[in-house]
Amino acid sequence: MLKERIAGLLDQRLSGHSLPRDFYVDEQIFQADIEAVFETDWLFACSTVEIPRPGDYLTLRVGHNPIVVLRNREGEVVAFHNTCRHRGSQLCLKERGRANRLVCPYHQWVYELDGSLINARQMPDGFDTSGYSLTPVHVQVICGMVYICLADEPPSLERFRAGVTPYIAPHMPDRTKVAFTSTIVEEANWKLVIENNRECYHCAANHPELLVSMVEFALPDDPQAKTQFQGLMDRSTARWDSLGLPHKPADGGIEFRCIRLPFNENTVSFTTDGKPACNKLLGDFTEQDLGSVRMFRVPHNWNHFLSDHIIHFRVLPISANRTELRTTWLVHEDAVEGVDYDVEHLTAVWLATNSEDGMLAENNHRGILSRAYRPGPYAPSEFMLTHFTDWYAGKMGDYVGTPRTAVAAE
Amino acid sequence: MDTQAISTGLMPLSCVGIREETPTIRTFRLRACSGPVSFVPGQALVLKVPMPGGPLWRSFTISGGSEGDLHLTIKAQAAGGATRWLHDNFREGDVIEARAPRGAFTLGLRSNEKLAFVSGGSGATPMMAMLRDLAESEPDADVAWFHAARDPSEMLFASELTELQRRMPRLSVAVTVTRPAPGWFGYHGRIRRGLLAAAVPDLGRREVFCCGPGGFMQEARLIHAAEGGVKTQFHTESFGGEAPVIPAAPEPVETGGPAHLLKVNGRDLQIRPVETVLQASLRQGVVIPCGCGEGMCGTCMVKLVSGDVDARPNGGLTADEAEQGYILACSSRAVSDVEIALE
Ligand code: FES
Ligand code: FES
Ligand SMILES: [Fe+2]
Repeated sequence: MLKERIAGLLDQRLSGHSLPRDFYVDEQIFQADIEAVFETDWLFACSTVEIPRPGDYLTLRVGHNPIVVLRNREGEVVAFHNTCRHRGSQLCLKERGRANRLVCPYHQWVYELDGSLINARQMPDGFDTSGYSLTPVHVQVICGMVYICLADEPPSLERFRAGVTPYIAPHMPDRTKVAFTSTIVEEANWKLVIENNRECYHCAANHPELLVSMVEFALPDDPQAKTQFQGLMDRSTARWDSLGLPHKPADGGIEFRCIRLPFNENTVSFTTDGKPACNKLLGDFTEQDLGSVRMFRVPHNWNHFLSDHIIHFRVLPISANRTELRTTWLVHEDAVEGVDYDVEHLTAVWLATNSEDGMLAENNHRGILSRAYRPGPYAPSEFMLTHFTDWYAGKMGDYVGTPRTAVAAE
Repeated sequence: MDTQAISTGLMPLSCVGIREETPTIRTFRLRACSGPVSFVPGQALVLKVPMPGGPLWRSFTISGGSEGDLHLTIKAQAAGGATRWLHDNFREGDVIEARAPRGAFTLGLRSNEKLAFVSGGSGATPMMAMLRDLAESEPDADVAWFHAARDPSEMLFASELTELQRRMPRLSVAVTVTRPAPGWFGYHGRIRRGLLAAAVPDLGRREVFCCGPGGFMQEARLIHAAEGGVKTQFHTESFGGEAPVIPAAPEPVETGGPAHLLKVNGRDLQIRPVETVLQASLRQGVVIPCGCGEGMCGTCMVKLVSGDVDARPNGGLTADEAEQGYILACSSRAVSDVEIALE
């Protein structure tokens, strides 16, 4: 029934247009999104530096699936379904924490950091614990970013890994630490949050803080803006070439995007004054102005890598009209708060921008609830939305078993 | 060559001893004929090296001194140059002329308890002078010294440094060489952030005194900033590093335009508003001895007899000298007809 309805909506869909209404607002289709997208694809969970020591863990929820990501005693990052093998209680309750062993809060079954059950009190003699290990989740670490996949057979991440590593590795994300995290909930469908992120058509009118440093392309046809930008681009790329830092767009198709872009003249970081957010630069950099590597991958995250800090953005759907956005700011591991950086200066631009984008997405969602809503055409500067919705339609097509209308990501 | 003797500010120094530091480096012990000479550790001395083709003016950092004597530690560079000449010809008992010690690269600049010395090649010299001073006045000083040498045999002051380490418990020393050999246990490779940060992990919290070749100092400055260092806590010695001071080439100046009269020791020259006294003189064949070309070394000091100049000395002139009417030819421009004297 549902699958047929989805197939019908996919038939109605026009590429290059926003999606038919129910894809954004319908609770049943939201469930299908979780199954079709979030339970099949690789998802960005966190940075490795959020769980630096054995036993450090971080929890997240993928649809209805509680997940725990942790560092085991060998120093590797592993992940499990965060549900006890006794009667299913959630195991780790905090968003972040440290545990020597994972102990269920309900009846205290005890799991080793490798997921094996090592104690189940009051169970009869001869109870075989070996059949009750935690259920593992696939993990891959790429340049300090932890990706997890709930599928039995995860798709390959190798093209993504090979594509983005040369851009990100010089920023040495393993030698960073968390300076700040923020989590907000937006009353909007997750796809609207993503679509909002994939275009800067809305920036000129809505993001005064961001546009101090961000070069926006809202006027690609303005010859003057184009010449100005070209000059900035040429000067920047010549410098990056001499430093051996890649900048041309990576070949990510509709799966991912990775590119190094310059900041506005006389600005070097995402700050309200364009000055560095952290005086201690990342990795072995000695140049403040490296623009930013902007990276995103379907379905749900985007990232910025600068000379002085890194920002990860992670979107998780809660329901058809609620979405969580978690933002993490990373600085050099030896940077000292109050000396090398000031948290307010570091975070002001993107806290403001996130909140502005949240309102835009909420307005968008409320407008789509209107019975007058009809899918509208994307502008040329919204080409990444065409990529995103084509990719989404492909995933949903796979889910309902119809032939794909778009090229798959893999 | 139309060079003229300069007597003002010059003092004769006689060589009272020579010590071999390494196969290519010697320390010359100099004594002023007129009595003890004082200096601040980190300052430099401009020597008038009597080369066969005419004197060359060279700046050397004073590596130390005692009882009014001055020590210059000098590395022999390419044949035909002043340093080579000194190694080959300057002997105990010989006399050489010099200007009084000057320079602002001294611990007087210091505003931070924790110090880092970063030196390349013979840039170690002022560090050694400052360290000797600290060993006397503040043996508990927290100093991290990072030195870059070409190869292990060029390690300056090795035995004296060992002695200073004994007296200064918070002194740490790290050395990198670009040409390691078996038996070398220190770092190797050129200065770079990873290396410097490993050797001096808290570099960004320290006040840096840096001396070495230009590119070396530039890199060190970027590294200090990238480690979160405060810009005003990075000091460099801008001359007297590894390479001899090369007289600044005269910059091309506009030809046309109004000019003032420039009288030099009775000769009438022209000087345009855009050019310095040094440039105008050189352009018209009057050689004024010069060093840094940037108002820092004092080599081009001349006396202003009459007229007005826009003088922009950059620490190369003492208050006394300015008071007495001396100017630096390399960084003075005429704003009226002027007369100067090379004395
Ligand atoms: S549900 Fe975990 S111990 Fe009972
Ligand atoms: S009216 Fe001015 S931008 Fe729209
Ligand atoms: Fe936005």
